[in-house]
Amino acid sequence: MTSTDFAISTDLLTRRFGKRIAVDGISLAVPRGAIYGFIGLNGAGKSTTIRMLLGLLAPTSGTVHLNGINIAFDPVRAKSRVGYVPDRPTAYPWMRVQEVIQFCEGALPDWSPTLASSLLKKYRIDPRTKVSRLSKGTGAKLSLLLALAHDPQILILDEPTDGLDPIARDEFFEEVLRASLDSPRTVLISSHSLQDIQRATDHLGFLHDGRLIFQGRTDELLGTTKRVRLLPDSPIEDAALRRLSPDVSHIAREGRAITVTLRNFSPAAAESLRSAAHSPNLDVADLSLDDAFKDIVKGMEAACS
Amino acid sequence: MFLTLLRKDWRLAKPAFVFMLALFLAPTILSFVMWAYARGISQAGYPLAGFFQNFQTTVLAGFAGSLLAVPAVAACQLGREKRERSADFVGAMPIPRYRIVASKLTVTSTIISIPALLVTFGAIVPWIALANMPSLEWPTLFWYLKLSLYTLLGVAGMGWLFSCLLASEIYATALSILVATTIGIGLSLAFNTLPSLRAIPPGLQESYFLFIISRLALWIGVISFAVGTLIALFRRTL
Repeated sequence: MTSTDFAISTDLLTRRFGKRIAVDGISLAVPRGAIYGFIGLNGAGKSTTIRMLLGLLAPTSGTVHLNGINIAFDPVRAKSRVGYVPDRPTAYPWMRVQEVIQFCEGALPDWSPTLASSLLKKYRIDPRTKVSRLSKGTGAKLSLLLALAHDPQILILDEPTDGLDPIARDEFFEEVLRASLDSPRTVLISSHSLQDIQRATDHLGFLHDGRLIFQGRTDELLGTTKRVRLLPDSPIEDAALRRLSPDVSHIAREGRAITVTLRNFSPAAAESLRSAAHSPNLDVADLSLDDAFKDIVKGMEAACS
Repeated sequence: MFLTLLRKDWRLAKPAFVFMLALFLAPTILSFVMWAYARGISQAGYPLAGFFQNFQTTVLAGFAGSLLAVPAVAACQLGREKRERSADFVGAMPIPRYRIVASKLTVTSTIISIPALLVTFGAIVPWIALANMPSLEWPTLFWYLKLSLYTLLGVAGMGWLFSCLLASEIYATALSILVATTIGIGLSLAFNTLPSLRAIPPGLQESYFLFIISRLALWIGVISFAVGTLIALFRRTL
């Protein structure tokens, strides 16, 4: 696969701030038409990565391709079909909504005034209001409008629902989903709200401490990551369980019960755990994205410590 | 696209421009009000000549005051965009970086040339208004224009450069004023303390001082604008 096969691709993208490595050699591969959830804890490097994707921050090393175009070599062409929704509106706060729209109309060759005015009506944004006076929810909708009105092939959203109430967050995600259905486009969205991510995305990337620890299809992750609950007859160390399978991601204990999170679940792997723990029972349970993410991250942290 | 950027950058600079203009015009307006008031209460009458005799001084006082706002005009082009995060908004758009910077430079250079033109205008007005003024020669007129332009370039250049390095136009402006004041006071102290400079005949000292400070301002301005522009062009964000 080459960079042209993906809407967004990075090759060993790295960013250092002094001695600190914010993003550590990540190679994203976002297929065309995918809704890609970019997940990570605070400070994992999501926003730094997104800033590098948009050419707002130069990588220390590595490359970024948008629609097969290297952003370092041809930033204008690479960004021409990209819409960006930041965590809070970055449009000029002293301008009125109408003025921001006029500015975008003059600055973006592919801007569609018809689409902009229809979105303005749909989102119920008063064009005479100053950007600084918009509520958080309306501000997020304005950012989405500004990102969509030039009909981008790629839409990048950086924690767009941060600080929104649950209703405004639901409305926003619905609009993003609708926008991705209306026109074939690739969406990369980073968010803390994993419920929304699970609902909206078909591909995922987990970022932890600047490293990409998982990348793949959402259904694949949730289909192959399971929790196995054991009730061992005799005590067994975590290390012994980990030695049994490299797919043991996380181990939690509650009284006598042990819950093991297995990546790449297979009945054989579960059975080997059961027999090693001398557990008469074996319960296998599906995980939500929230739990899968937490267990994988905790497993990473346990492995590192 | 360039016109859109120019309009936006003009609006970014407008508050600083209004402040600069207010500082420039304040002494002249105050002088006029005082003249009008004195004329009103005086029995002997105050001819307009009385106002124009002090016109050059008030214009120069206004120019000196406006220098406080000039770095803000340059600094808000980059620093305000960074502080308000609109640098990300415009940076994520498919606009060539050179156009973004060129628009800001155009607006800044146009605005900062206004006080220089007003100073030159201030030198001509009394000459036109008063028949008994000594004749104004072209070199004198250009001297006013040159001196004011060099000073403006130096102060605005610092505002431009510091706003490239700091994430706020307020800090950039404050630092520019601090550096400009330090240079001015330092040079003045040097003229009062260094034996070689004190040896200059008193009549020539002012000319030397103005010559040195204007050349210093010119070079600081040229270097600051050049370095700031290179930073703004080659750094990904403004």
